[in-house]
Amino acid sequence: MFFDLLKIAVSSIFKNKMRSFLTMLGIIIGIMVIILMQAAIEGFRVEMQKEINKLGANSFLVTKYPAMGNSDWREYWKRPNITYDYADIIENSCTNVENAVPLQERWGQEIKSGNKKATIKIHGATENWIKLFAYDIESGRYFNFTELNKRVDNIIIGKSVKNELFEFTDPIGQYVFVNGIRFKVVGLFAEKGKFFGQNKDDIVVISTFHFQRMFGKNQNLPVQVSAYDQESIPKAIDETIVTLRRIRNLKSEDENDFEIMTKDEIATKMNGVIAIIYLAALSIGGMSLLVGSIGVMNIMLVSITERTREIGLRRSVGANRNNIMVQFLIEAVIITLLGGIIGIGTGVGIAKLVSTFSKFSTVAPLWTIMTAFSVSVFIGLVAGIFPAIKAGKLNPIDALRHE
Amino acid sequence: MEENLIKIENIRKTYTPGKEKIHALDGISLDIKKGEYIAIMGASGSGKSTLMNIIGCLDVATSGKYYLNKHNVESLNDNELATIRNKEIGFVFQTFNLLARSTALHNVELPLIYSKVSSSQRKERSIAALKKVGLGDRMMHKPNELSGGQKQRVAVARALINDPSIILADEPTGNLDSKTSIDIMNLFNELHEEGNTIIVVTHEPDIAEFAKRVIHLKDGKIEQDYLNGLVTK
Repeated sequence: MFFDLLKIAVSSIFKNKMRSFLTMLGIIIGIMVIILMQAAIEGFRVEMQKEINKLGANSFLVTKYPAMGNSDWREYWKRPNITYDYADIIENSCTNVENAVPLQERWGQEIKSGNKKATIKIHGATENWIKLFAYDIESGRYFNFTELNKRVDNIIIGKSVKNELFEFTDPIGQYVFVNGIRFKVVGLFAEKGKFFGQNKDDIVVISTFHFQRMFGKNQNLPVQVSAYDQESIPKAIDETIVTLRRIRNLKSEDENDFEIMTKDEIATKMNGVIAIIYLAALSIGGMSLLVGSIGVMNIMLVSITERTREIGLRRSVGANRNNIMVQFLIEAVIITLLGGIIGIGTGVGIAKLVSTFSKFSTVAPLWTIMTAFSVSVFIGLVAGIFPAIKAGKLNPIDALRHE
Repeated sequence: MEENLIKIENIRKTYTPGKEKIHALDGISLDIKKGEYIAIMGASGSGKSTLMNIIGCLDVATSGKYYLNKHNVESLNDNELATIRNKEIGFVFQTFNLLARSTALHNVELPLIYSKVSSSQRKERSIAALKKVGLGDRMMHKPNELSGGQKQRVAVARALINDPSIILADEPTGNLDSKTSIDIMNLFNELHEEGNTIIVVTHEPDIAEFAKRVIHLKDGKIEQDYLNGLVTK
């Protein structure tokens, strides 16, 4: 019996293909949006996790500002800068610290060669920089130890910089200008790709001497501190805090005027932010699903009015209220279920396409698909129940006479 | 003595659409035996449609008693009424009431879906019913590919499919030309000769001529109840 009602519902959906599809569209879009957003956020989370993992297993950051999610930035703004020199001080005064590296970087700078220009991010070189940021040399070389703090006019450029300035020529040995200073290209990094629309190859590395000359010696920057091993991280953190408090001359009742960020803390903060994005994404997707389900309900009501005589006829040949109700309920559920399946399909498909054709990776895990699936069924039940009850309650005589 | 298929005792049906009560049926008593061929006649507003709805178990009387094939109809709930309509009654309507986008075959098997007959059996029985009404070659046609007479034949096949106690036809020739009307009435004659009980509601005396017994309604009461051929007009 249920199977027969199912067949009736399916056939009436297919007899009105255009209308059924348009009705589904709201659900398709809603589910697709949820799947896509979810895939994007999940991809973002995975990439962020990778970034965080790059911090190194035993490392933490010393910064002026706390990680994301703080509104009271004015308080933090008043704090003294964490400067280049802090790294050496921390490294030299803390016995549990293996090394401390200042992360010198500047966005939105310009590099020129002849009449060609490119926008770049400048890094100040340190000994461990290339290892820390996991770049490989494609041709030429990295700085050697003696060059790091000296006035050496060498520069190492990323792949996109090469492509823009020296498309058909070997960049090694060529000269470029950054902020009015002439540099000689001594190395080219291998391509690293994009991370969430952010190019990783539009970078150059110059010596700390030049970096500080361009941007000042006391600029604020994060310092990455590494302990010798996992167990010594807490001790290294304690030592770092003591050292920094000493530099800053803080009294015992004063709070720290700097931040220590471990990998876990960054991850926790990041997950907090991602949860908020998720909530926003779910609200948007939920909104489109709500609109979609109103569409389904509306079409079911229209369909029942149109098919009143059919209902009357079915009642006269022996259908009871439940038969009619179930028939229309199944119809609504099938519409939303098909819409859901198409939405999942297009969502996952687009996510796959995006992953394939860009480095922006998207992930649609099984649980989202299962959730989307059950949500579609649920919407069908919710949107269909009221029209179905209405159809079931129709008086057979009035229904038969309906014009 | 043949048993009474239908026994109606002092049935009343009152509507209150506004302030005043309307007595659509005002105390009707009626016995119908198995195998009878009856025409119910009357002007519009005479109550014949209401009577047909009650006999067809689409509606229940306000008061009075109705036994159909020994079922006490007024004590039945909606589900039980649906079952009675499914098993005991075959409707034929003036406007055919076929599912427009379904084939003749599917239209005929519709009642069997609600009696939980398996799909292979449904098909078999529907084919037989369509052949019986002379539409063996039109089974896969949709209503818009059939003439008025053919549509009504599909409806008759549908009415017959569950082997009901009565065939209830409401103005079955109302939308047909006179030649086709005669064809359809001849079909009813054949069905009657095979032992089916047939009730035709009509306002056309020509159509009532085909029946063996004629019941005239007026203002919700039986005005005349006679056997055709025994009363001179």
